[in-house]
Amino acid sequence: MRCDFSAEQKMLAQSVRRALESLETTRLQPGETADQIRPTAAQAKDRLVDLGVFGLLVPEDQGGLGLGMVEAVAVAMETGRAALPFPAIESIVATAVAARTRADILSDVLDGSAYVTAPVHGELSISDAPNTVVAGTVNLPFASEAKYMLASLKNGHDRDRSVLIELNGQRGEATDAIDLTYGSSRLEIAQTISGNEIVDMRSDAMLGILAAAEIVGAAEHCLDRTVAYLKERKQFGKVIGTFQGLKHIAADCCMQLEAMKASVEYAAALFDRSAARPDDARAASEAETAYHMAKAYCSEAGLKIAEQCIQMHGGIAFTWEYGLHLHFRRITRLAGSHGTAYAHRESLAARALAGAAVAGGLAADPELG
Amino acid sequence: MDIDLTPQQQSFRRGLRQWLDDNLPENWGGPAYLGPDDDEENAVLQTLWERRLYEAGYQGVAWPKAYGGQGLTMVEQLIVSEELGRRAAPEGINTIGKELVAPIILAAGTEEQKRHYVPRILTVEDIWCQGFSEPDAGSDLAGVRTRAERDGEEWVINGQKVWTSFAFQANWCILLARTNPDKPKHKGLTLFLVDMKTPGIEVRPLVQITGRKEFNEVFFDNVRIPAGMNVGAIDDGWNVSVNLLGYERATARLYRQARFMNEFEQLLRKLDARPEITGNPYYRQQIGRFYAELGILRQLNLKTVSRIVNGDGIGAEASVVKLFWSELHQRIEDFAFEAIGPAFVTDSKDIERFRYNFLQSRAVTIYAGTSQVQRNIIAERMLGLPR
Repeated sequence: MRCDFSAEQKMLAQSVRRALESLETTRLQPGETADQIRPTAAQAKDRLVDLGVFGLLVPEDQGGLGLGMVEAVAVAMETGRAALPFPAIESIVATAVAARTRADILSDVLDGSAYVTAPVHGELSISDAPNTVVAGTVNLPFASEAKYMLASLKNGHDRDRSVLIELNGQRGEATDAIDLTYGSSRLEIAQTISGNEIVDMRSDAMLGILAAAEIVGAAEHCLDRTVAYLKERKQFGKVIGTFQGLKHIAADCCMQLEAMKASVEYAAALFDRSAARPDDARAASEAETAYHMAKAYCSEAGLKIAEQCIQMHGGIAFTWEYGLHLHFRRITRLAGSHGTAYAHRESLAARALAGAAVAGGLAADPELG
Repeated sequence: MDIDLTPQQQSFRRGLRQWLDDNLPENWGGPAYLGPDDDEENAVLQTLWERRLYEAGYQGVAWPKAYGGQGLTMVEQLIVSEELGRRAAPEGINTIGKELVAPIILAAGTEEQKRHYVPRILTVEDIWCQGFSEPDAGSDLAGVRTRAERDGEEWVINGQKVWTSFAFQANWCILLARTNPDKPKHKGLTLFLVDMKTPGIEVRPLVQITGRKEFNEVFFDNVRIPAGMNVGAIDDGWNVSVNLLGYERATARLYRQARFMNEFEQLLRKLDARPEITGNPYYRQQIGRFYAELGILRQLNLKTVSRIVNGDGIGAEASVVKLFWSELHQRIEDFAFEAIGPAFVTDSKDIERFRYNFLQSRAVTIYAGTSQVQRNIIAERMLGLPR
């Protein structure tokens, strides 16, 4: 048993961190938009392509890295930490869907020439007669660059079908996104697709787990930066990090961060296990529960950490220039996307109440064994 | 990440489940899970239960065979903990012996001490209590004032201990005493093994918030014990005990998570007949939140066990887990009160379990290092903030 990243997984995360660290730091001026940081975004995209990150979940015989969600969360923690001005997790998941549905575009997607993304949020429904039509309103990051969009389709309660939609130059209407490094647009989608382009794949859960992982990385950045500040800043003739009033807030943040990491790593491991056992209903159910747990917890705790980090700093963190707001904004956007804490807690409540009502109950089958 | 158990470990789990079906005290579970109200009757039940577990091979799971253990790993220990917790099995009377004394002796004791004391803990021939805290040495444990002075081939002990759980039933005590008042306060302490029948020891039970009498005051008045009853070196008691406390904090009661889940589930079943609660978003949100946090507590436990079996140490992470579970447990009990409503305060019929745990859980953020002490440890050792 090993409930931690392997040496290889840690190396992958390290190489992503190194590649992203050297990107020019985003220094947005008030009023600037994502357009102004497009050069950084383009650079980020190139680095991710070089590292093969888009193909992380694509089988090796299709030109990908052939890895799983555990590796994907290790990478997403780094893109979150960097507040990367590029929709990396959306591309990772959309490319995985492309590998299953659109072999014809896969090489363009992997080398970065045909960019795929996925909605930050939005509801898409599917109707089957007379043609298969996907319709709805979505909020799409980097829509102006994107050639394809990933759609997670509702099928009963869960969204277990995924399809790639060609955008055909549709740009939509730019929105005023809270996450300044993640410009997005509102698009009306009404597209006829061919049924055989739809694949059984929980792209919504994948995006939810990776969004939680980005929250982990972004929150860790906030806490690291805050702890460094607490060790330097002096008031009353003392380093403020000696004050228990601040230490205890930092300790609570640290505890929540450890819990967030555990939840995300575990949700990813269960997702991979379930993917490897497509006929195992219990594995699927356990993966589903762990996914809701991770996104529910990280959405709330991550936001709290970022907020507390601003409070521990004092006035300096409230300034635009200091830049902590970029991570605060990113975590807020991620917490509000791919299912809010409220939505995931509601799913968990339904599962808990149903589970408690059956013989053996909630703890009848712990995931191990 | 390799989260699956080996086939052997899976079959170990199945065997234990069957054994529990066959051996748990009759009608165990539900409201009856606390055992008899009478403290003495309860002590007998807990002792007999612990012996049965030992005889079936489910005690000392990860301890060496040479000292009566099963010679397995922390993964099997985790399995036993989870299965016991999931049935809310009796917690036993010798928790201090199992969770504190034996690990200390195994790590720091002489070969003779290991061979003599550890097996007797497993068979419950000896029941142990922990003489650490004092009226003026609680969170500031190194402020211990109970003295042990050398007199020929004996040590003479004088002082007072408090919050000493199971002292009334115990026949042995692991005692932290000051052997050298001239050294800095962390450096002059020694750990001793003290026979509770030694003349001069007086135990006075304390009635707790729940009405039960589990902890005690213990008075030492010229208590003479033989030289050689120290564990670890003289004046090194702080190192011996504190280093182990962290490890124990992380591993001793892995069953808690499953036990809390069992309790949460009992609560949901109780609420099931009340759609005004189970259909209300306010309560559903809290149910979802606690379910998530209970799941994450298990994941933190898995990480702890994983670190140990893979040879990575456990340090201040233990404080993270302690802070997480203790505050979670308290909040779940608070939720039980809120969800059960007025009936919770007027009549304990049918809800005794929740009311007992509501009261009992006030202790969890105090014992084994208060939440404030854990936060200091996390801030200083994990985040590197200055003292």
